[in-house]
Amino acid sequence: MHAMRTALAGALLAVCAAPALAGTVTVITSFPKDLTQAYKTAFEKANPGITLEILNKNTVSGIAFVRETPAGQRPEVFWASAPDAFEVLGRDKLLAKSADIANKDVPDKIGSYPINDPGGMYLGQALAGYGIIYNDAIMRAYFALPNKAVKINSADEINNFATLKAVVEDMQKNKAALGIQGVFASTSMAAGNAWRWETHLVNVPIYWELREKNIPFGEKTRNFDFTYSAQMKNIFDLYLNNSTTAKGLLGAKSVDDAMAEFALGQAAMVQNGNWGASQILGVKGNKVADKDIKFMPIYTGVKGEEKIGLCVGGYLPPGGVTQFLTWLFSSPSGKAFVKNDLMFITPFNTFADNELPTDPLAKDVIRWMNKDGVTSLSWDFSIIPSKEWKNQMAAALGDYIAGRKSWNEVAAHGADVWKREFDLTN
Amino acid sequence: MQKSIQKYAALFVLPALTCFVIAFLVPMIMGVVLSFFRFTTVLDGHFIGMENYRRIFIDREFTNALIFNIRFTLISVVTINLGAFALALLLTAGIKGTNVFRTIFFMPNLIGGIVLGWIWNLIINGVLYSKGMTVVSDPKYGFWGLVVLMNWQNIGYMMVIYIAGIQNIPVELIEAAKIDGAGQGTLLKSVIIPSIAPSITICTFLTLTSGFRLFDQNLALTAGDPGKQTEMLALNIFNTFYGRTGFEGVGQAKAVLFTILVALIALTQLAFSRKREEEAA
Repeated sequence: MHAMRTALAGALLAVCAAPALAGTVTVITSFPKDLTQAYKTAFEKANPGITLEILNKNTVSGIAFVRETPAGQRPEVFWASAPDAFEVLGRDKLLAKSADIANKDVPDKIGSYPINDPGGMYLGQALAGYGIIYNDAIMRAYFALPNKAVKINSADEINNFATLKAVVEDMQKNKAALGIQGVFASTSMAAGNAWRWETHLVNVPIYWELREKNIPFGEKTRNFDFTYSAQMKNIFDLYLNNSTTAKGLLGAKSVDDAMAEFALGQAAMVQNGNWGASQILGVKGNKVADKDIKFMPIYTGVKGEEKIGLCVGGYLPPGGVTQFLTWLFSSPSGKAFVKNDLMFITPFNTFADNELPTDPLAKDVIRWMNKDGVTSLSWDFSIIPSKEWKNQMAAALGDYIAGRKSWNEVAAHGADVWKREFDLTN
Repeated sequence: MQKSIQKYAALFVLPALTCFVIAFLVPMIMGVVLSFFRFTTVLDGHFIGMENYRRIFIDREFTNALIFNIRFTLISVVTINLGAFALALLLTAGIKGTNVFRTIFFMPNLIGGIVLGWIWNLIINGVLYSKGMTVVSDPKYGFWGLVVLMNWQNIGYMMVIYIAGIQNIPVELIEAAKIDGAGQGTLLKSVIIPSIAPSITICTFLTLTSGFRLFDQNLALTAGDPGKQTEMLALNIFNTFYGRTGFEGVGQAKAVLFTILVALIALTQLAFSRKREEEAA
């Protein structure tokens, strides 16, 4: 039985507390202009008389824009890739409730994850998963080696940390034979590029601790003890010690660098989500065949992790709010954009099977979602008290890599700052 | 004539005064007032007294940035001024090609801070790469990288001020000193340095304040990495205000403290240097 840990991502939409201006729909989004321009053209063609105004800003400036714009002139839709922005906007009372216009045919929860904000402040649009992405061609080459040190014969058989570690360390020894520079792509630690660790990886210990303490999903807690920090150290050390890049150079590596290493066949594995597909397929000189791009869960050495499966969650568009959103999720041209350009997984009933995504990672997320007997990990990092906590974690992990902090100090720092940030934000 | 100028004085002052009030006075007053408020937009907040100032010290970020900044400024003020003065002496000694060198030394000052930061980021990383390190691997690389960058940018500018000072020394004075038997050392100590006291004052003032106000170079070279250990005051204030939700007021309070601090240091230094100038005169 294979375990898979993925988490929800994808795009989220929120309706700002502002009345719609007749004839104009304003959307503020962090998605790039070359993508949204195509939406604008197609939408306006399908809906003559309505102008779609799209403001392309990164999430932080988007929030600032909404805050600084007087009521009545604010954009109608805030379209972001993670729920953090909505927490901030919600706290400032800049969002309007939109639950009553949600699609009634869609269930409240998929798995343990509520599709929409329980408070009705924002609605989900798509789902995504993350785990360890691996290049199966390199894995097959490894398992075909005459001198391999493990008994298993395929990457599918890896279902716990001990096995993963044995495979990875043996692969690293044979990196010359496999034609790779390291098993794992760079553990990117450049400023603004540590989110794969301070948010996504840290989700693993948070998940296990919350389950152990019987804290239900989504409930905030002041006490995070980092009970499973040793397990996080397991996998983090594995990333660092079997990498394409020397530890001292990681501070200058970005996520793009890591994804490029994977795409160019220099690394066999990289921790990321299915949104990374475009970064693999889009890299010039990409050497990884679509069929060889696969997911495995992030194993850390927790007892029973063999039974952990995919997190299934989804976000639903607030269909009735604007013609734009209805168009986006129900019209053929709108749906084609969601599937092909955004590469989102859209589990909604407005999407037929043949409209589901075709990129390899999104397909693999669906494969894991449909596996029997596996329970998915939820996206518990949404209860991290603040962005500052993540920054502090990134700094502490950087210190650990450079040898300025021991792992125990990293864990203690994480637990201390959690309390402080919880008190500051609650 | 005199009378009509007086009559219309207010009218002529008005444009400049308007700009000053809008661009400086109002933001400054609002800034100080807002440091006592919890706010998200500048026109929407509520009074919370000294809470923002208390929150500055809930972690060691601001103190660390302050200590880092003081160390950086002390070292760069000394190195820049020594370097600039040495160059100025060399380039007033009548060596061939003086003008070319002056231009070359001045040029880094014409490049923007962000670009400078990136250039030095490439250079330093290029050197450290062979050791398996980068400029953000260890805070001491960032520290010395910033010192080098700051020197590279400012030495040329300060050099020009020192050259002007040295050229203003009357030739007779130097000749008289030489006739009286002054050697190079005595000439430097007793004639040149006292005569350029005003240049020293202005150069120290400029380097001291720009050391504390450094922002774009800091952002481009290290962005405060590793883990905010090379973050200076200006960058820390920016990151607090824009990077930490709910901390806008704290960022503002830090900015107020920062202004007071820099003003105090600069005024003390000015008073001190002026006094020395008077003594020298």
